Amino acid sequence: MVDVTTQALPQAVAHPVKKRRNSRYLTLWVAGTTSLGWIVLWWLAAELTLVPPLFLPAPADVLHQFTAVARDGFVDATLAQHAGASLMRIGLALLAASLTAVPVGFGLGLSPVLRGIFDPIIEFYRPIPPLAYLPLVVIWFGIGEFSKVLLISAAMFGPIAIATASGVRAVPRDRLRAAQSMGATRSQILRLVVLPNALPEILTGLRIGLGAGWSTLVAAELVAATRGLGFMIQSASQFLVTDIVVMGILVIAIIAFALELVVRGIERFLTPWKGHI
Amino acid sequence: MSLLSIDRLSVAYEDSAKQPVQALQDVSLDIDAGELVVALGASGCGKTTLLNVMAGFLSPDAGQARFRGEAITGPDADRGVVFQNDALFPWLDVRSNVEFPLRVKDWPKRERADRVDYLLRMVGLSKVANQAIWSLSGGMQQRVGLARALANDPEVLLMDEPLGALDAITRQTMQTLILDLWGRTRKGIFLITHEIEEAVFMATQLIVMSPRPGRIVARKNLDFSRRYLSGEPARRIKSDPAFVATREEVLSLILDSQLDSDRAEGEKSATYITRPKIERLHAAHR
Repeated sequence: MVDVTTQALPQAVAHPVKKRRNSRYLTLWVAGTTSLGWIVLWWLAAELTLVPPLFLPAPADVLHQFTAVARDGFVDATLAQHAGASLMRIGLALLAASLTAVPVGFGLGLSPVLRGIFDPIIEFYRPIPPLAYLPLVVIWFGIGEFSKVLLISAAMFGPIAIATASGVRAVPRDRLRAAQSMGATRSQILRLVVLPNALPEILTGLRIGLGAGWSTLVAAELVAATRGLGFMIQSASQFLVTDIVVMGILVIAIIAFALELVVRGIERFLTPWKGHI
Repeated sequence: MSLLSIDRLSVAYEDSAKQPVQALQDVSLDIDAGELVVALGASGCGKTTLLNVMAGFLSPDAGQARFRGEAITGPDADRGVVFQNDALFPWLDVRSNVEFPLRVKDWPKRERADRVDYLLRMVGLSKVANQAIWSLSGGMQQRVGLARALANDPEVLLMDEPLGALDAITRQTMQTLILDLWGRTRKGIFLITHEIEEAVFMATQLIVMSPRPGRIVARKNLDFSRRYLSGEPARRIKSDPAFVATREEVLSLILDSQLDSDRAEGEKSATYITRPKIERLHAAHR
């Protein structure tokens, strides 16, 4: 009789460390090949005209639009200007959201009264798609830049505030007691113990908020924008220039991914203890 | 007047099932300067509750806790606390952790640095001063906790199972380290443990506690730690017949009290099931 368990186990048990490293390389390798596979499929579909170019432009056309829009522009702005306008909005929104959501998150985590005030509001608007309340924002605040940034930062606010609150609440009791027994005042405990302790979760909140911000970008640039990646994609779709639509999507994906890497780098730099204790 | 005195203290709370638990009932205790009081008992006997009242983290339902004659109303830098684990600040390195209490007390930078150097040398951590907390072993982390608790030069040191998470060998060296520090600083120490040998070795006053309700069932004055301080090797003390006899006596005390409290419990409810097992254990140790 063959014992299946002992047959499968040795590899995992004998070299658990080696095994884990191998599995990470395996995942990377599979991810790489899969991505390459999709591109090849895409290229084949376009080359053999299995799908009309209106629905699926060829990779070469998309690549061409990339350089063409970067050089000559589309709807009165170059690719860099579109990307710059969007990045500016995302950046301002992130700044506004973190300046407001982190203190509110502290309030949520520390005070039952503040939790009573803010929790219903956040939980009320958070699940609503930004497109649904976009008209209200426009009626209240007009069609200017402010409304766009407000819409994006509203989408970022919830995740950041909630993550901050959970980080504040998760401070181990003994750490607080240790600080108290060393004679720390309440404000010192907040500043020197609670804040650094919540930092990993605050940064996670920023990452999630950033993602929420990008998904609101196109909605924010629906109204009276003259520049921006979302605006570029919408204009292209109205003119049925599908290759620019695809190019815009790829640009957003690349920028969002790069920002994600930046935030992860900041995380590693600011909170090297994360995952160790 | 004692440095720290606990008078007929009672604390009750509700457990997760909303059942009232008498964590401490009518506990009295005095800690003098230069004394090392060890509380020994199974989990749930209220020893941590007692420490929390002494530290000022918890206020009693009845009775009084006094420090230098004044009622304890909250945590204070005069009573240093060493926790079992998880109480160090991982975002600070070893040095900054030990420096933390001086920083919140606004010591001048220069004096802070000197004091931290001295403390690190005392617990043998000078070489790892700039390392991250999470890169240290459990024993080293407890040394950081010790140095940090000593930084303010508190009059009393309260230790909540400081060696509970350590392996047996590290535990031995940490026991003697704590005794050395105690001998050098002559502070009053209250230390919690559930290790009988550790308790007998370290205590000048040993209190044996028992759960449901949490109370002191026996007190003994011991001198093995003083013998260690006067130069006798720890191993020789621990293998001394007098030490072994005391250890066995304390073990019997604990098993007796457990049997009693189980009987009392059994009369009230149906948790009688553990009794035969304890009686067997008890017989085996006689």
